[in-house]
Amino acid sequence: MQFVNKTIVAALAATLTLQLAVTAQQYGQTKKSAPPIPVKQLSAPQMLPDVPQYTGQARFMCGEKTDNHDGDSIRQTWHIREGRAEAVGWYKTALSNAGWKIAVATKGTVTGSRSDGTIMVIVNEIPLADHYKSELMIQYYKAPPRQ
Amino acid sequence: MTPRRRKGATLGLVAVCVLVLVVIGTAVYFLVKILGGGREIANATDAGALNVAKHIIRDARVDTLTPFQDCEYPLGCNYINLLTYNRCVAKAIMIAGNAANMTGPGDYKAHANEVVDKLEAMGKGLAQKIKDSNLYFNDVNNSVHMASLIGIKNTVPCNVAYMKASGPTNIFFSGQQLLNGVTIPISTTSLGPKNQNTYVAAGTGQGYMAGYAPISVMGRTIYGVPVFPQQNPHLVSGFDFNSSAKTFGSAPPNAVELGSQTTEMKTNMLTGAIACAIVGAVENGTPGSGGSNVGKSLLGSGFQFPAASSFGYLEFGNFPANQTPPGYDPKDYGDNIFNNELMEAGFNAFGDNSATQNSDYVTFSTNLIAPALWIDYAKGVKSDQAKQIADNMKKSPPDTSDPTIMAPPTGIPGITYAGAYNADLKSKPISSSNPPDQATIDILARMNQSKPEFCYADLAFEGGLMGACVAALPAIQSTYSHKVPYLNQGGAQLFSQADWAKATLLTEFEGRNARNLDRNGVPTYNNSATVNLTSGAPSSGLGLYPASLVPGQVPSTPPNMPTPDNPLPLQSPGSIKKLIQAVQSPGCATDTIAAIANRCKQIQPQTTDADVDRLLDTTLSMSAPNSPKWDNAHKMYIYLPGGDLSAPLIISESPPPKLTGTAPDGCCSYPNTNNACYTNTYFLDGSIVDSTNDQKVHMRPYLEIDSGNPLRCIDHADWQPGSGADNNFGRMTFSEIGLGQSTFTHIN
Repeated sequence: MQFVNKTIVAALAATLTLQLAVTAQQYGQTKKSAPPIPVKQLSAPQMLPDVPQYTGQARFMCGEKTDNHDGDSIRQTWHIREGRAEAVGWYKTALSNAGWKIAVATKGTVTGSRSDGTIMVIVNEIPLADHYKSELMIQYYKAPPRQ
Repeated sequence: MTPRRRKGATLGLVAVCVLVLVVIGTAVYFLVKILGGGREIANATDAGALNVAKHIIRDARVDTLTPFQDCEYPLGCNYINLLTYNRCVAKAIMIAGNAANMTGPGDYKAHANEVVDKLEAMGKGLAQKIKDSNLYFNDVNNSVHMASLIGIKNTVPCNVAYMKASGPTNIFFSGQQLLNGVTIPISTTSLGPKNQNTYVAAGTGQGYMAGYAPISVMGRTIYGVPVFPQQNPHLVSGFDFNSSAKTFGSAPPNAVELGSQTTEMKTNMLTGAIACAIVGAVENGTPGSGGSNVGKSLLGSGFQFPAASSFGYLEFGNFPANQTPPGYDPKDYGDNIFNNELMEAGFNAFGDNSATQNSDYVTFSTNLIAPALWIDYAKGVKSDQAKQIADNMKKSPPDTSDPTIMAPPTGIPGITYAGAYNADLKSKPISSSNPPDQATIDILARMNQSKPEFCYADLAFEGGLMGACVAALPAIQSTYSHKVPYLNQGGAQLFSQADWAKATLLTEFEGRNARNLDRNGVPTYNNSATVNLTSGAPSSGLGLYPASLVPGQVPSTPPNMPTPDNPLPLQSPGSIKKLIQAVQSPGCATDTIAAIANRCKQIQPQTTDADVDRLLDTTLSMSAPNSPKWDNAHKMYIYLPGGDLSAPLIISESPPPKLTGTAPDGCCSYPNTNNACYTNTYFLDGSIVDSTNDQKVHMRPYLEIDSGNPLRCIDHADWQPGSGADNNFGRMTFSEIGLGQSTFTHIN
């Protein structure tokens, strides 16, 4: 009888241990994630030679550049004096004139593409602390040249 | 003729003389008796009048009318007498002064007028009680044995007079209790208030308020009564008494005239005397000997009092919090797939189905050109292999060996993956240095080359992933070990409206959209979110943003406040003073705090500005989520425990002794839209809601903000003053009203 009890206890303990291990493993799996893509902050605006430069008054706010050797992926944020519609209209024309194919244009966004890259412009007309009228975000991507 | 005898003549003369002396002596005796009895009557009358003057200051009483309960001495005695009448005068002056300085709609002037009316009613009642106090005349031993064995009596009410105009009452103000336009006449008596700095804040005390001197407040004229603190009651001349018949409003008299009479027992004629006496507030007994256990160490026998409304109180309430949005999780979501590989503008995918969203096999890369190049290569390989096999089959015997694989192209950039739509492909990266094996070439060759899908562009401009990107999403997550955001159990924090709006957006960002299903019918991410503050959650209470970001009043466009660097709730519990300063401009906040301090000093004149600062430094958090109204607010009160003037003011959640539960009578009830000082509006889009780097994401959780009706909060620190007519001297209400609706699109 004593032997039977010990067997049951041992079996229960083994089951519990196994269950805990499985749970821990599952937990570990759900928490597991890859390292984030490395991003370098830009302290100053980076001029993009194939992108028309906005002609209105603009204040550089921040920028970042992805550094994963899959091309130049640059995001920059500006504050501008003009409203959303005016800025979007300007970029739609300027990008088209600069050789970009306008893929989509909405009331707040413009996206253009070329064979080796894309450009996306988002204009948010939101209250800004510096009393500029709109926030302009430009997402630029250029694929690396084939080696 | 008989000669005269000379013997016996002297005897007669002696007898006559004796007789004359007896008659004269008797006459002198009665004369002395008559004159001495008059003096005796006069003295006894003086004593009786003095006794009346002594008694009327304490024992002529009227019932206490509301709100003068805190003018009683001892507290709870339910009567007002000459000693305490001036306390009522002082309280009425403060209430009327408050009302005179208040503006806007409200019943404060009507209430203050009612208080003055009640003061006057008590004054008239007291005057009648004083007239009827002649009973105290007969209390003394009025025996006058020389004039009459039956003693003297008084049977008619006292005559009264209003003597010594501008003489000292037994009240003094602190100069900091008085508001604009209220001037208290000061008596020029040589005796100033005794130990004044123990009653009021050091250096702020005034002299004794002058009695029978007009005090004009709010169009009413109020008079105190000279009761001469630190002096004994004493006799006054009939001439002075009779020239002091002029009354002063409804103020009771302070002097009495009593006459006595008796029947002179010799002449059987009525005789008597008249005496006049004035009251005096004698400092007698020991502290507390006024019969009260309250204020033992301060008010003593009650011969003098500071002006105070010791049952007054101030209310502070912070409205209930908003609920935490279900599922909100404050943790870092920077590792999600949208913030990593799908943030790459070059990300593109291919599928093997003509309807690419239903593809079983997919190819994808963060590099814009790599997948297409590898698919080209694979299709070329397959074509060559087919040709090889056909050629080999023509051989005799046929060559059944595996076809060769052409050399992979060089210079294809980046890493590409190809495999089942839901497989973890991280162990099979394709690159120039790690070309695909035959199985992978087979998969690559199956891709629908005519339908490339640009995943980032889909997210940014198409309302979400499309085509091959939809099919590949499970494999993308597994391969890169970055998931779409996901919810956990959420929390139970106390949220303001601004916090609720921010958390709602983040919950959408981390949530699943039932209308956006994957191929297995499982809800996936929300590529857009709408936050409606107008109807989404009720108004909330108020807290403080991190002091390092918002040190004072919240600016109309607040600084960026990303989580989890600034964990939610952004608004943490704050002190009353800081909450006021977070809403009101510096000038307004100074005025409001000064108004509160003035009220505090009316309740407890010992209070200093530093004391008020300490009281207002108390934290007042929001109450638990509930409907937004005062009844549900987290409330605290400033008051004197038990109305005890020897104690300092406290701030407590326990209600004060005379709490009415009704709002103060000043302008205006919550929400106050009459005074721009008490509200502050600021905008949320892009700074508090959808902040830059929120949850550690690059840029924002959602890139595009459509805020035709921008999200904004109107914070209230509404100061509603009270005249104090019902002891409520003011209420401060803290709340936050959210308005607007913004739509956020393009998950990042």
